[in-house]
Order: sequence, then C-alpha cells, then structure tokens
Amino acid sequence: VSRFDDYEADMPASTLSDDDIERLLSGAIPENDEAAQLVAFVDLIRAESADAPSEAVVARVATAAARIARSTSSQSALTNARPQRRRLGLRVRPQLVGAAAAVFLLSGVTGVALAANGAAPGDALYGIDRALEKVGIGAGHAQERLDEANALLFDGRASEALNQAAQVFDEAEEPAERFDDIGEARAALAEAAGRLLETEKGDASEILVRDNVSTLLDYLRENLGERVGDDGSDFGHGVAEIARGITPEEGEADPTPSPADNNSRKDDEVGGHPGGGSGNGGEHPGGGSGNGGEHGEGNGPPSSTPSGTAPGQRENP
Amino acid sequence: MTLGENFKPALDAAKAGADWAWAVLYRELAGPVTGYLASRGAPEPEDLAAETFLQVARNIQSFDGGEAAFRSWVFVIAHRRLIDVRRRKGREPELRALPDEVHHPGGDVEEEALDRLVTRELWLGLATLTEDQRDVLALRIIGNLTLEETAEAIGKRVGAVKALQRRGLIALRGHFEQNRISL
Repeated sequence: VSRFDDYEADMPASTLSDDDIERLLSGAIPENDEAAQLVAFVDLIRAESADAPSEAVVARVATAAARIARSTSSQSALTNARPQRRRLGLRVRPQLVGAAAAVFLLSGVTGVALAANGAAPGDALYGIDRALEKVGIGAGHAQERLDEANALLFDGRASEALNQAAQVFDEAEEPAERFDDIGEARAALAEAAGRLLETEKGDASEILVRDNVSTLLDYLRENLGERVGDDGSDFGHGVAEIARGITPEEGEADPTPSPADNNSRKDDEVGGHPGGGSGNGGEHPGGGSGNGGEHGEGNGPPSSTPSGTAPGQRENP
Repeated sequence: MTLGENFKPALDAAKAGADWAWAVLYRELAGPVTGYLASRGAPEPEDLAAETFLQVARNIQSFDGGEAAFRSWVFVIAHRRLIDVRRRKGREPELRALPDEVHHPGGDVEEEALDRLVTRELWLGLATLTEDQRDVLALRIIGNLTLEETAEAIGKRVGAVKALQRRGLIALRGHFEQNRISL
C-alpha cells in the first residue's frame, strides 16, 4: 500500500518492499535478494552499538540521575522558583543540580584521564584564561549561579560549587561562533573539578582547595560582566592565576601556589583581590570599582574567603 | 532492552531516586545510545549519552509507559541532544572517520584485507546517504527502534520514515552494485 503514497512517487525502482526492510532491519534473514545484499551493511551499523559503559561510569551517572530524580519528586512544585537573590543555604533548583551534575560526571572522567596522563596539578584550569577572554561571559544569570556556588562551598561542597560555576558556561547563550570558546572554558572547569575529586580524599589539602575555589568563584562573581566587549585579558589572567593555585601539589601542604609567587612580587596590595597576582600592575584585573553596587549584598559573601586566607596566601611572605 | 518484568519496579525506583535503578537503566541503554550518537557524528558520544540520561532523570516524573516506550523516549532525548550539538556547531556533522582497522587475531591475512576493503566500501556507501536517511537507519538498527518509535524520535510521520529508510537502503545497494562490491 505504502508504495502508492505521494512521497514515494519518485522512489527508485526496486523490489525492496517494506516488509523486506522490516525483516532486514530486525536482523532476520531476508528472502528478497536486494535485502540480502544489505545484510552486511546492517551488521556493520549494528556493530557501531557501543559496549556498555564501565561500572565506574554507570555508578557516576546513576548517582547523579538518582539525585535529580529525588529532587524532582520531592519538590516538583518548587522547580520553577528561581531565587532572585543570593540566599545562603538555599536549595539549588533541581535543574541546576542536574546540569551541574552533568559537568560533574564528565569532569570525573576527565579527572581520571588527567591523572593517567600525569598532568601537573597546576594545570587544573589550563586554558580557562584564554577561553574566558574570548567568551566574555556575563549574560543571563551568571552572578546568581556563582552566588549559589558560593553557598554550596560554604556547606563544604567544593566540587559541587565548582560545577555550579560551570553552569555559567552552560547557560551562556552565545552566538554560534562562540560555542567552541565556551566549550573550552567548560572543559577547563571540568578538569578543575576532576582535580578536586582527586584531591578531596579528606586530607589537609581539601581545606586549601576549598579556599582556593572560593577565591576563584568570588573573583568570577565580582568580575563577570566587566569584560564584555572589552579585551578581557586582565580578567582571563586573573582567573588563570587563581585557577593554577586551586589544587596543591600532590602531598604538598604548602598553600602558596608557585605561579602566583612570581607575579606577586610586584604586587604589594595586601588583602587585595585574588586576581592581584596577575601581573597587571597590582590592580585586580576586574577593574575593582563600579561593580559593587550591582549585587546588593556587597562583595563579601560569608563563604567567599573563609578567614581571608585564600587571597592572602597569594601575597609574599 | 531485556529488563522485562523487572522494568516496572526499576522505573518506579528510578522515579523515587534510587541509585541502583538508574544504574540498571543506564547499563541497559547506554551502549546503544552511545553507539547511535557516535554513528551520527557526535563529538563526544559518551558524554552526550550521560547528559541524555540526566535529561531523562529531569523528566522522569512525567514519564508513564512500558519498556519499549521508555526506550524510544530515551532516544527521542538523545536525538534532540544530537540536534542541539549540531546546531551549536553550526554545521552538519561529518561522517565519522573510518574505523580503525580491526585486527582479528588468528585470522588469515587475505581474509582480513578483504574485510577491510568491504568495511571501507560500506563506509563510503554510507557517506552517499542524506543526514535524515542516516538518522533513520541508525535509530532503526542501532537503537533498535520500531518504525513508530523512530518517527517519534525524529518528529516525522511513519510514512516519511519508511520512505527515508527505503531510499537510503536502495541508494546503498546502488552504490555497492556500481562499485561491484558483493557483500
């Protein structure tokens, strides 16, 4: 019947019937000669079916998916309420958890890969400076995201906080040509998260990592939107500078990241912005002024710099 | 999918947020979903498959149906994610590179060479199809979706899916014939 349908009007001549095709595609041995000639093709395509993922990946995806499902089942009525302002200890929207978890998952994989490559810890956010420069993030709810991330961090959930920050990139609705740049920044953040996973084994360095992530988030929050349409290099450098210090050397307790040392020598601005080590003359890369009034809570969320250590650690002894 | 009578309990538990249930579902479907995404040129098919499942989790409360319906729903989401990626990339996906030469240990050399030749020809043939035709064939063969499920996944009528797969297969056969490849 179907061969009389209008869209088949110019169908090439063939003895292949729909039934033949069904048999072929379902893996049965076709009676039709033409179909029989295509069995190898079908087999080849079927061989594309990937193997089941490793149990480690299954577990990671399952954990994240279960968490999302739990949050949607208990709070489905609340899912659309987006917080207008930062609230400490706020419950992050389920969708956020989900999206952040996606980065989290992927970063877990990346982290393993990184470890296998023996990449230096300082490379955690390698490339993010360039990426951020190009992206010029600042649209949408970036500030909010980072505030939420800080709230998570305040709860001691450093990895989740970083992933939350990664959301900024997920949500940035950029022109198509920028997508690759965003992808680059996301990948960099994901790698950082991977490093965090590795570091978070409960040793002393965890606290340090948390402080450093806090510094990064704070810096991002305060400087987002500042560099749009600008050359952005200072911002990028600032991020990179902090990022490199996020994870300490393996087994090293010294909280002072070495890359920052080189630059902070010229930087006497004690207690200044964490980006101060970026070698741009001591003024923090975001420009410092003019963005404070934008977030009414001021620039110092409680989680931002617990005991002020993170920025301070970047200064010269 | 082979969960059978275990599907319903797994689905219920998944909705309630049980890790084990999601592990069961993912183990079952990640392979074909990843394969589908890979065959359709997704740059990072494993990641996209994971993202697909997180999307599934986000919407799981509103899903109601049996195993087959679940399977096709997952592919609907995977296909949409694929379209998103294509759109963001701003270009049509390239056909995936020719797979690495498969080494069959203990196989004889001549046979291997022949296999390679045939595989290569198959890939070249595949390249002559349209995107839609490849989508449909991949969903049918790798995803193991029915006509109706495939139609739903790509948002076309069943008749259109039939036409696409038929055209695709005929074109392929034509390619093989022209190049005197006997499979």
